[in-house]
Amino acid sequence: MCPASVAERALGAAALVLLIMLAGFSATTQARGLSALERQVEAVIRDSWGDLSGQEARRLVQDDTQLDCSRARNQPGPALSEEILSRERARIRYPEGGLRPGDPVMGAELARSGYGGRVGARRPDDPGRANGGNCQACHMLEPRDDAGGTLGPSLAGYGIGRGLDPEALRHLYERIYNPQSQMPCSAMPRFGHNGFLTPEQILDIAAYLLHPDSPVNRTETLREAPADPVRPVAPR
Amino acid sequence: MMKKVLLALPVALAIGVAAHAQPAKDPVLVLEALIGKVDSAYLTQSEQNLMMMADNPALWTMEDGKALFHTPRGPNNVSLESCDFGKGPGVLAGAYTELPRFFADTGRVMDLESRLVHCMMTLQGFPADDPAVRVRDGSNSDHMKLQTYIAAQSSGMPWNPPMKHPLEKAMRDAGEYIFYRRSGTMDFNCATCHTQTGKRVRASVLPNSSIPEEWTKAVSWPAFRVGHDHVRSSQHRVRECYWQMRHAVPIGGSDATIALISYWTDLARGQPAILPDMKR
Repeated sequence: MCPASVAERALGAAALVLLIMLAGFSATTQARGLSALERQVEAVIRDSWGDLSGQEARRLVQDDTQLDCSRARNQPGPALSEEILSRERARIRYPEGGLRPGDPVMGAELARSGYGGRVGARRPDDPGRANGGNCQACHMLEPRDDAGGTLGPSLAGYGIGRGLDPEALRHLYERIYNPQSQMPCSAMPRFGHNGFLTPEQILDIAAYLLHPDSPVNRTETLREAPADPVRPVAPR
Repeated sequence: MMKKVLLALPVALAIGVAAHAQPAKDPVLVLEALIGKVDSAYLTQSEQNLMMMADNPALWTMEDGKALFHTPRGPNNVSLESCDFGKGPGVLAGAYTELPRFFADTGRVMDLESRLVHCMMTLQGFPADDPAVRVRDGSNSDHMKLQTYIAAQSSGMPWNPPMKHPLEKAMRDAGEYIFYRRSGTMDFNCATCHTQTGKRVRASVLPNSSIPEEWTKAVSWPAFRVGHDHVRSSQHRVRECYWQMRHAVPIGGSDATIALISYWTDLARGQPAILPDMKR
């Protein structure tokens, strides 16, 4: 698993961090004008991941929005926010058959499945099998969902008052396809733009969240959002 | 789980006997003191782990590590007693909480694992492809045994990675850059999960890197991962985070991994290390 590291191979070549300055930069980052520190650390990153190819190599290279949000530490100012919003809006692609609600049952499965996208020699996911959206990792999905995460807002009751209205569907499709078209530097992955979910899968998840009969929107089970199950750390 | 309890029982009985390895300070007491100091959902999330910690299976691993450390081994048939982890040859007390640090003999900033590799190869004469050097994961690996023993000699001591040498500072700063660097098919960075308090990914409460009393537990490796049934290292934590972020894993001991460990240790500065720890 772990061959002699880059640094072990370079043993004796001191001051690695300070000395590595050269190497081919991607066209994207070169055009953005990286600072000296950024160029040095980018060289360290390339060395530290070694010889990658294809998908694995591409994932390590930042696009413009990833670079902007890294620099802004996810707190873009007004000008950058506008720039990201318009750029990411232009990157949304719509399904060929138009925006129609998909299969809410399939959507429920996709919202829970954390399968897909893991790479490496040990336990890579099968790229032939469908990726899941893994929504539940960060969102509570249903009124009685005790397994959902809290990094994102609870989605229990999300479709109440929205239903399968075409504008609600469009808004949600765009939100999942490219969250940064609505919230610049959002923590949520750009599922459609990054090719992790297909437009059809996004429509399935949207149907699960919006459909009045979906367990997400079952009013008889809806209750007050449970008190945060964890206690915040007292301010120091 | 029952099996683990039975396996751990003899360790619990053996603790306190002078001939056996012991952490510098009981990690249970270190953790309990932190819990008394801050109201942290991360620190208290698993009652079972808190109850089990006195019988942490990592204490076995530490015990094995003690024997390995002091036994003459490798082609040169010498022990690791003359290995310098930063506080002088053979000095282990407080050495781990002051890593990563710059070592003049290699001209590099090294973490515990890379320093151990260095000593195994240069002092003991192990070739790089020997399992003692090559196998880095699993409670049965020499690495996890040795790392757990060495680290436990700093239990309860405050994290204090030196920042005097320019390369120590450069590696810490590189780690900060990497921590905030978004990339990949999920657009994630380390900050996605580690800059808020009390948030969960599914059922797991995430540690906040800006709350040192909470963060010290997050960086207290080696720790027994209950879900893995193995003792894991800092390097393993880096690899697993990248794997979960759907990235290829960085090369073990590479500069990016040491840079991240330098940064995350710096964030826990001043707080006591919990070694060995027990995690979900």
